[in-house]
Amino acid sequence: MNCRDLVARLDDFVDGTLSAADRGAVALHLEICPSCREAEARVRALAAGAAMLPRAIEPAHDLWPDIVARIQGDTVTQGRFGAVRHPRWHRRGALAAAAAALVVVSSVVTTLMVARRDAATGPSGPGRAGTAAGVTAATLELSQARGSYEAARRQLLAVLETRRSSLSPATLKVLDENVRIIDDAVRQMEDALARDPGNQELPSLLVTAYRQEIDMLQRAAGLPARG
Amino acid sequence: MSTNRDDERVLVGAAQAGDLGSFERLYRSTVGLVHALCLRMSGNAALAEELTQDVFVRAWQKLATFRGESAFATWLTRLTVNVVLSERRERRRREARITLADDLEPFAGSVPAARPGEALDLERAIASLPPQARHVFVLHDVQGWEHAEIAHHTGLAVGTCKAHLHRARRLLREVLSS
Ligand SMILES: [Zn+2]
Repeated sequence: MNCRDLVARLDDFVDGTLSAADRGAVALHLEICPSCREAEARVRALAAGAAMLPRAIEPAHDLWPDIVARIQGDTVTQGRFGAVRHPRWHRRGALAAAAAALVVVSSVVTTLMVARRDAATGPSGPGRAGTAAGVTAATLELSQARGSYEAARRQLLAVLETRRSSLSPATLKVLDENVRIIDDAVRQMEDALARDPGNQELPSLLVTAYRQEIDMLQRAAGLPARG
Repeated sequence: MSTNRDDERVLVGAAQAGDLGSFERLYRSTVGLVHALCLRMSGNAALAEELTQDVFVRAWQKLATFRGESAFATWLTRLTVNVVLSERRERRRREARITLADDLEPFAGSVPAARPGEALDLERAIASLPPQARHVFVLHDVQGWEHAEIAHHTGLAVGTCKAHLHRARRLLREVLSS
């Protein structure tokens, strides 16, 4: 067995689902190969870390009143999956999870937009000739989302301003950096959309970026004080 | 956090008979489990709250089908996975355009990160995974499901589940060691 064979079997080995013969071969290779031993240790550490994550995370808000309302207005809830979801912009939460969890997405948006912009400098890139109906629906949704986003953003930033002294410098640094990254991404997408109003993908990307930023600010507003 | 089995049976029976107060007590004892799973599988806090609501509305509607062969939390966990996965399928159909999540794939390793704590790093790294790899990782490594059960719920082949787990673990190790 070589290192590549081992990598292909490592998950099953760690999970205990490998056949006895393969198990023996893997064990033998691990005895003689330090780098595969290190890989094994890292997979085990990762799986152990995942298994130790808390099983329960309470939501930031009491969801019961909304659930009751939906149960009691049961006819309305039918076909709900077909309806457009409106994010709960107005809510301000206390979810003590990672403030930066969603920054990943926004920095990707930035990368993506830069890449798309570079690729779309020609007069007619692929996929730009969308139907008028699709564009209208997407644009409508976008304009609604933009209004909610701007209001929620202002409100949350004001909340955070009052909390600055209670958050650790490290948290504040991450937070400020993330706000900047998302703002940049949003601005780039707004610019791109102004230049290319028929673009089919930008509205949904923008709405997602709005949602990510509000989400992050909500989390940050609910972070526990340093300690 | 959890009610014992006898209490649970009484509560479920009352809820099945239409007692909303009993259903609320079941909700209170299990909402954290459902919400954690929605949060990790969707990677989005706002969506997770909506999904959590959806799960309990569905649970109320389908309560008659709960026969008590497993713990209520186990039944609810399976329902949660189905709700999360079907919401995602519906959303993809409805949007019929590039979803941001799928565009994450090539960039999953390029994440700037602070280090508030290992568990938070891990949660954040999980949120950054491509959707299917994230689903399989959460179900297998966090929830402790076996591949056969994951395959049954996701409609994927067992081999495909294993490939997603392999990919998820590789991406997570890359992100966490960067
Ligand atoms: Zn080796």
